[in-house]
Amino acid sequence: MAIQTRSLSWMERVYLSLLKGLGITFRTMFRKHIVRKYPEEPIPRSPITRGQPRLAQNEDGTTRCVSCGLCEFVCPAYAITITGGETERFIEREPKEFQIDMLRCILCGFCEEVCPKEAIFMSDELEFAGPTRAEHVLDKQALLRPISKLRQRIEFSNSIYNRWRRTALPADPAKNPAGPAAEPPVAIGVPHTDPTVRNAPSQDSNKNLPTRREP
Amino acid sequence: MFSAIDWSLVAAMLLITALAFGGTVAVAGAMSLAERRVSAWMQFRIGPNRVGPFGLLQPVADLIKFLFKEEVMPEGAHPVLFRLAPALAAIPAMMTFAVVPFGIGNVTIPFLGIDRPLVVANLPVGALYFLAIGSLGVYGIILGGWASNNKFSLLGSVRSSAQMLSYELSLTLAMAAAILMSGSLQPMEIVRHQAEHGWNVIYQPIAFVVFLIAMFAETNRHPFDFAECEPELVGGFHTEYSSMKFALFFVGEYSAMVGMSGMITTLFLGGGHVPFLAIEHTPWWLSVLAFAVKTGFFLFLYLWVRWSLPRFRYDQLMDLGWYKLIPVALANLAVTGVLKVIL
Repeated sequence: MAIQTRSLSWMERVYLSLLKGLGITFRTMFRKHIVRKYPEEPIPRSPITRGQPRLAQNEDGTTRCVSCGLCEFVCPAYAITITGGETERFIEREPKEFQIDMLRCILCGFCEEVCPKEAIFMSDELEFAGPTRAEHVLDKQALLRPISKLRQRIEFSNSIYNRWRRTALPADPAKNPAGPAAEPPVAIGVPHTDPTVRNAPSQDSNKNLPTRREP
Repeated sequence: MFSAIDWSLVAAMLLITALAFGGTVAVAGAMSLAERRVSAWMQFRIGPNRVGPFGLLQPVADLIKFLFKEEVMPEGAHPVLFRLAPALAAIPAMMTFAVVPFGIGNVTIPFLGIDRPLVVANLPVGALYFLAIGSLGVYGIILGGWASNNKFSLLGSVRSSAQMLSYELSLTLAMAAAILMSGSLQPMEIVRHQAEHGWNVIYQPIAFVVFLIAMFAETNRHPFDFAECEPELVGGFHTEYSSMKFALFFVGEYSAMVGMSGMITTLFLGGGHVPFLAIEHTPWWLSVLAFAVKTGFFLFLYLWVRWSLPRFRYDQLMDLGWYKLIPVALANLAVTGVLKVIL
């Protein structure tokens, strides 16, 4: 196949058309730059951002975590260490110590996915730097964040994980005979909404972040 | 003859030398910042703005960083030439500015009462000195590439030597045309002639353009930077250099740019001559300012061209040098000579 070439114009042959390029760069010099001055101007983050994991803290300052150990177990990087303890509150157990080694954490989000108590969430905190190793092993106090700060992520996470929860509404089997709902009733994955729409926002009551009242 | 040394004269000369030399190196440092800022502006970016106000202290920070960097010498490198090459590249480049008059007329230095012209060395053969010292700079590049025992470095320096040889001819021929106009090799005389009879850029536009193109090639700058040529040769002749040795190559390149810009200003734009102002009525500081503005324009042109134009192909470079620039410059010189005799 022959390559189509265009014969150069007179201007181009004597390199005079280089001036055109010079003109473009000169004009660009006085145009507005398109740079975000990062540390001063924060990066806009959406709820889908999977930042560092943080523990949710209720409005009354208590932790939601019951130190069940699921996140510690599921963590592929062995970053989580929980020391369980008892409490007088209704949930009976809470972590005495909850450590996440951020140098090990790979921000996979498994802990958030597995948590049955909506206690750990991937926050939108991304900045992660320091001169020592010790300061990256975060303890319970450093990890606790009020749920108001995590609300966006909590809602997002509910919308994508609720379809795996037993508390979700059962789907109408007649509607989707070939869908997962048509499988034997022991299936744990029962979509609560139309399964063809993945990640659909939940219409579930969980959206309102149920906090159990203590008796 | 050597009966008495005029110490005030020595002091005056040392002062002017220090000013010119310090000015060259300071401008070379500022150019390293300007390079990054201007390139950033041309690409919708901001550029370094963290160190000091507007990033003005960035060259200082760079220097400190270079001083503390580890020096790496490759295995099989020539121990003497490898260390000598950066100095050989930087020193001639800094020396070229010695004959460039950075103003017109004389200045009376305070406290010493000495009247000195605004040039380090007012040589009668200044233009020749400039060419001779300027072409020494290629040795640093050739030796640096050869002594590092690296094929990319060697390729870079071989290309560079061929390129500088080719373009030195056009540079000299273009300069000869300007010299013919004023009939003197002394840069101060050339400036005075232009101040009285009009700038050479008006009478010698072809020589000006040839000089302009050749000066980009002589300083190994874009679009003729075949000595470095990052995409093809890693870093060219300075691939193996690190720390302060690399910085010396850098300073050498920018000093050569300052010298070349000063020379083209002297030869074609009337040096420190302010338009429509006779030499006698020009205060010395105004002439220095005029020189600085004109030189600054060419320094900016270096950056402007670098961030606008792509690199030539090597055969295009040779083609442009041998088949276009040299015949044009030769014909221009011949016509100038004939007209000079007739008129």
